[in-house]
Amino acid sequence: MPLYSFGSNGHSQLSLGHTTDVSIPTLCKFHLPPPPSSPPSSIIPGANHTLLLFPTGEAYSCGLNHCGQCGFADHSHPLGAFHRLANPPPPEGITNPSPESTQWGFITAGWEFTILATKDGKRVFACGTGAKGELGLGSGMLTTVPQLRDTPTPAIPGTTIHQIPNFPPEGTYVISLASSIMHVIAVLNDGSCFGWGASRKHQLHHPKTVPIPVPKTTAIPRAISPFPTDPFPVAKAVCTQESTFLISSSGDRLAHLGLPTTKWKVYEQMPPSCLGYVDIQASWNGVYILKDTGKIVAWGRSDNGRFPPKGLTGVKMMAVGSEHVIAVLEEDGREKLVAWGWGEHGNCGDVEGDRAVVPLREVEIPGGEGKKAKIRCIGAGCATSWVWVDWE
Amino acid sequence: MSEEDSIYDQIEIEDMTFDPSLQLYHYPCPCGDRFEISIYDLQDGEDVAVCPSCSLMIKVIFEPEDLQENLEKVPAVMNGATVAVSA
Ligand SMILES: [Zn+2]
Repeated sequence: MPLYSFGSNGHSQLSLGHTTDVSIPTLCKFHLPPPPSSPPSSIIPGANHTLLLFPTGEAYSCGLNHCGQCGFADHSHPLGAFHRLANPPPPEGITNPSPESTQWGFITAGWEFTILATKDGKRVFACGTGAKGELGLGSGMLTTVPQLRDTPTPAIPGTTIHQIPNFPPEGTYVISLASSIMHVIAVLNDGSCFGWGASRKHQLHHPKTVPIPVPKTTAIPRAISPFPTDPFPVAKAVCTQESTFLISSSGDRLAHLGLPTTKWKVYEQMPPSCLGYVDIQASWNGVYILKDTGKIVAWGRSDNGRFPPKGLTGVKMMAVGSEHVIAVLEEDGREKLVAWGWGEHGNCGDVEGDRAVVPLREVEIPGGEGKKAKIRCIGAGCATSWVWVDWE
Repeated sequence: MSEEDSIYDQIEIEDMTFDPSLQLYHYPCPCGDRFEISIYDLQDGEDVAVCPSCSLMIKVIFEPEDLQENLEKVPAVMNGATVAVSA
């Protein structure tokens, strides 16, 4: 499969069958059965584990699995190559389940945990570990390894994946999932949102609606009341380490959950809207909007070359990692992969000299032998970069 | 590069996790590994936590009394700055 990875690989999170960092895009390995030949809809990196979600509802994972964050019950060793995860079982008591109820449709990953939802959005699952309640399985179950005797819900056989009970509320379904390394946001079809995980920095509360005392951690999904005035239906969320941003469907409205004074000014510099957005993603302390004009608007932490160069246009796709960005540019009908930011692990390519501050540069993808690269999907994580290429 | 330049971020000790068996505080590093500092180094007034896998470091924001509760969790024989802590 034409999936390439490069960057930090200490726990085989790049799916290369070894644990050495690489700075040149390298073909990923897949354990049998082989994945679909069409590209994934998303590439989802955690700290040292990675997931792939395909439009067919299949999910794959690789990398560190010591607390079950890859979803596999055998947590004795990391997964050196992508393995296919079990599909969600049919909902209890349903004889003719819809395909959408037994396929994966949404995945987000944090530091050492993964949250998954079925394609119909009606069931949400968790695996891995999170001392701040990131699994959403309650304060009695902060990890899926070791396996507890009494769990709120059973694991899917052969996995560490448990369903989050009583969520989403009857009659609603998930339309998007987002997470930082330590908190999770689920957006529902009625425009409401729920959150869990770290909440000490008001990640789950509007500054004007924060309960006193502020809950430091939140171990089950809690309804968020983000709007003291003038609410709007939320369609999407993105999370920096200590803030949450909620976005309306057209992008005309943006709301911030977090402290009124934020690190790196991620709230103070928030624009009034993000109309015309194609994609919105967050680094650990910055937010990046890809606009339909092919430009990227960014705010928050900007030092050490974290922001795109002024005047950058022609951006077709972007993927924002912890402290670096990769993007696909189209110039004269030719696509090219570029990277910038913190590239210490080779995640911005094979840079000579200072990798701490990498200005925007092209990353050559080996192979292709003169064929034209069609880049279908990209991803970026904790000093990791990913690209799915079809050669035409 | 001065030390100030190489400080990636400043982190409040309350946001860090204490590991009583290793007697250290840790916090995620953007490389996927984590910043670590021993509770005894903090007790001695050091405040820079380092990541074993990359060049980044963080400055820990804390008051000496913040350490007290966790010092009490450390097994008694290990407790005290005179005991050498193996790296
Ligand atoms: Zn590091």
